[in-house]
Amino acid sequence: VPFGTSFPGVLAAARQGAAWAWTSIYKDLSPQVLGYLRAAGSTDPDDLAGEVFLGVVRDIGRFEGDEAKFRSWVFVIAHHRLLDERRRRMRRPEMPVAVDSSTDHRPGGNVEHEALENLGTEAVHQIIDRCVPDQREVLLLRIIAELSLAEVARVLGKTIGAVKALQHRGIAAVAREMSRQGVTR
Amino acid sequence: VSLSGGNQGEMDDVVGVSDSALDRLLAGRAPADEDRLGLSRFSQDLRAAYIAAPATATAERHIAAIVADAARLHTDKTQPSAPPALAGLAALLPTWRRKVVFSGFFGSITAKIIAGTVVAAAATGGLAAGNHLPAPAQEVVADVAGLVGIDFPMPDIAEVIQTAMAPAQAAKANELLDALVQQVTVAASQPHEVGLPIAEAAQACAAQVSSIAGELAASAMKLTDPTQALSLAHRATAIAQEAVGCALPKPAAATAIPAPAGTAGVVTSAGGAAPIIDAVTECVAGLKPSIMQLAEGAMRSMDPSAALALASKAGNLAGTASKCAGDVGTAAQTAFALPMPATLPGLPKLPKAPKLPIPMHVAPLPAAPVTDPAPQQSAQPATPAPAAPATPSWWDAVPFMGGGSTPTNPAAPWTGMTGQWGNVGQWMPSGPWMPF
Repeated sequence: VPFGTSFPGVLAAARQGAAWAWTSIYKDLSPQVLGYLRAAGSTDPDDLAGEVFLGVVRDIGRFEGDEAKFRSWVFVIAHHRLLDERRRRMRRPEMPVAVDSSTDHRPGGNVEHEALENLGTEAVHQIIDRCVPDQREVLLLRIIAELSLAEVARVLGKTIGAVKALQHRGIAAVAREMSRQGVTR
Repeated sequence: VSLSGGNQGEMDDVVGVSDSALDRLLAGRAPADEDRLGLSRFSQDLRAAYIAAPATATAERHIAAIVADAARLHTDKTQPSAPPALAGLAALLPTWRRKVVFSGFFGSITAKIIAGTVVAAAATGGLAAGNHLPAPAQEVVADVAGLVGIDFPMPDIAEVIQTAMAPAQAAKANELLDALVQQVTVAASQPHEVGLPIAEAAQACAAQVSSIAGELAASAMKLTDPTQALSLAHRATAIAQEAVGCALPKPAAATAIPAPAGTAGVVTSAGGAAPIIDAVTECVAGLKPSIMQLAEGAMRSMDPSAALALASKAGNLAGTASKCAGDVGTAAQTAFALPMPATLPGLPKLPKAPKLPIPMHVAPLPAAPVTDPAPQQSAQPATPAPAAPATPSWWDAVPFMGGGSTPTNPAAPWTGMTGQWGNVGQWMPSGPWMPF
């Protein structure tokens, strides 16, 4: 839930080290940050999300802007941490670690519902995975982080035109994969 | 078909969609007739698949690290260097204690208490998350909360009036004051070794706090300006906090400063801290009602009569803080069997009182004259000293520093003990100004 008109107060308090402000910021942004990191293929999204927010804490003194800019700024940090992780992984390849089901915090209880949901998740994962990395980054930032084209351009360090082109191609790839899978809406 | 390039027909489908329509599709808010590609539903599924709050344990771990880092960075940023006049006293205090005494109160107390209590408190501090207090109340509640380890936005950024928060916040402050007592108790009960210089520094801290609190209390009378009343309330809560903070002992891991040869005052067991713990417990018990009244009083509309009432409450709190600090100092004397000091060592230069036409005095004056390290700048005559009490303690020898009978400027910003009054009554901080 966006902070809205209370954002300046939250930001000012966060700059003063207020615990409640940081808790609020974390609770507001962590689902999307974590979702972005998961969907973008982070090997340890939980730890990486923690690093992202510690980066936000350390650099908040340099941030200037409104809530929308703040959100995109957080994703700039998330994107950079993700790139760092990928570089580390390239230098020191690791065996992929299976997802620990004990850390899955999604609500459960209905087996049939969960099965259907998992199928949906798998299908979604396959669809988004058909995009090339740049297209996937754009779509994830647009859909999961809910950033505008301009904000995505800022996160990725590209021009808006380039992001727009990647978005169009990504959407086309998604549509094609959905069609291939026979997904009807 | 190239994944990177896309199928031309599908690309045409996408190209035919306006940017605003694409925004709706990607946001999952497009109507069905606009969602020819099924993109809106895909966006919804993608969000459902990946967006979820972290597991509880993960979130707690993250928040604890974030809050600790934020508090540490803020404390480092706001830590001013001690002016030369404070160097002697500062050298006597453990580093962590120095931070409490010589930095902005908010940052230091937050950092100090944060490890034990703040995370849980922050999770329930939703009222402040929305900055949902009227501007004047926000300031006072911020201080009340600051006393017990929660920070709130300052009033210039408050936006929504919600006076119903007062009782809940007062109750929260109440709970966390108890937590502060517990923290002092635990810290004081650790094995430690306290030399005479450390104990004397604690006494000096208490003396300063009491002196300043006395000035604040004196400033409260007949104060009807809302801004000044709030400023007074602001500082009264901070000084009340500091009155408790003076009692925290040196951690065991730190190197003790040995007592000079031939002097008393080395305590190597936890037992010596008992009088201090008792004093702090009583101290906080005395502060609680005043803080509660202050918080609730500040929630009301601030006409001149309300301002007078608020100032009176702030004065009461400051007076209680003054007594509290005195009790802590006396407890230090009892715990460490300190001799009655002829002069207090290393006392820093205290704020000189501005020339305000509010001649008042509430703090007891010393029975015996004590050297005032600060040059007198006030032309006002000293108030005659009352008779010495029957059973004098070291505390009774503490002067009402800064002239004793003149109040501080209630509207002036307060930076703790890191500055001095200028010749025209303005407060001149020696370090970078950080509102707390």
